[in-house]
Amino acid sequence: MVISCMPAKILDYGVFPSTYEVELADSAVVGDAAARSLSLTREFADAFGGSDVMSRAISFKRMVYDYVASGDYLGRAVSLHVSDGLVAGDAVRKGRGVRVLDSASWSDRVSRGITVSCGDAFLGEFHTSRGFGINRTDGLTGAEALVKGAVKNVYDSWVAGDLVAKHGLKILEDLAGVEDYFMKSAIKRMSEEVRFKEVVAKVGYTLTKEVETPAGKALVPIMTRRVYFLPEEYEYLWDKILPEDHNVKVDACRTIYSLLAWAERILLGLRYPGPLRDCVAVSDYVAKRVTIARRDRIDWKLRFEGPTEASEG
Amino acid sequence: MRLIGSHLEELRKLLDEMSYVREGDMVLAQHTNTVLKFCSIALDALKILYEDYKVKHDREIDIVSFCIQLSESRLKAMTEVKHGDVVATRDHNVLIDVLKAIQVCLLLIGGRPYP
Repeated sequence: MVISCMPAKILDYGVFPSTYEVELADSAVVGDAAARSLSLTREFADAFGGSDVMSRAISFKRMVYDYVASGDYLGRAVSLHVSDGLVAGDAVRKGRGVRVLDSASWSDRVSRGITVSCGDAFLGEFHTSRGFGINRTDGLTGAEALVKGAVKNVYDSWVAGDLVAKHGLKILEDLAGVEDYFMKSAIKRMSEEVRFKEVVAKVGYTLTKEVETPAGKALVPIMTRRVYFLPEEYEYLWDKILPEDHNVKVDACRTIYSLLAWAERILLGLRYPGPLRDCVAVSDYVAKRVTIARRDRIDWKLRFEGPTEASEG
Repeated sequence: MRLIGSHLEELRKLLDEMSYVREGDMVLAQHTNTVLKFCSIALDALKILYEDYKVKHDREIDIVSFCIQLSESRLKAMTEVKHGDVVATRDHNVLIDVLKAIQVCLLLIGGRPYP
């Protein structure tokens, strides 16, 4: 900047927004993006973990595999063959799946369009195929044939449960949103605090001005300033251009004229006479010499003509 | 032989056109334009003197080179104002910057003519 290489003076300071706000805005954007990303949803899904799983990702098939004990089979086929040991976990496959809310009491198998309620004390094998209803093979204790209506009821309950789950997820999302909102609010407050730590420096210069002193001309420093127009919120820091600001420029121009003439004579080797005082001095010197010579001559003439003896005589 | 004789003549004419103002006077476009012309001509004269200085002394002054470059760049951002234009802070600041830079250069090249 201009001010860095010249004699400058800080006249005033105040508040002014600067790059800090931008940095914080970036962090806010990052936080917002993180809150809205799918990763957060996945975290929620993972949180349901062993008791309930809400995910339609294909990768979840592996989780179902883990939950099923050895000897069980879970293939890509529509059917799910479970002998026993479906004791914990909740599985939902994409399109087909098993949903176990509480293995101690009852288990559900949920698929798209098919909802199976296994009831309680479910221990044996069961087999489902694509379509409505359930086909039991054998070994079902307290077996129940689920008719379409029953399926519908279970489906409704599943829907209700799903609604609850969704609602819970929604709550979590809302909580996340609230947290995100709080985070934004905190960042905003921080940005405001940072803004109030900003300062703006008003800079002034020291120019030179020719003045007449009893000892002759001299260069004296004069203060001038740069004027600033800031945002409206800092209206109290606005500068008003005064007549002195213009007069200082006129004085500086006159000084520059003298300095240019002086520098030219210095470079040409004409150190004497100088631009102003010396020029006047040399003409004054010549004039004085002429005057003195004339005076001498006149004096001599007067002396020569002084004697008026001839006239008197 | 003069180096900047014509420049000094023009500058003298501009100085005669300049006038001091006081509170209540009208702000005229001439006030800004005269100083702007003065700065442009003075900068040209300064560059001539500096070139002569470099030839005679076989060296450069970094501050002078920087100030000349700075003044040129600042004056490029400045245009003459017309009647009805808003008095902008830039009009004042640019001229002050250039005047300061020219004064610094001249004092380094030629020294002080007065104590």
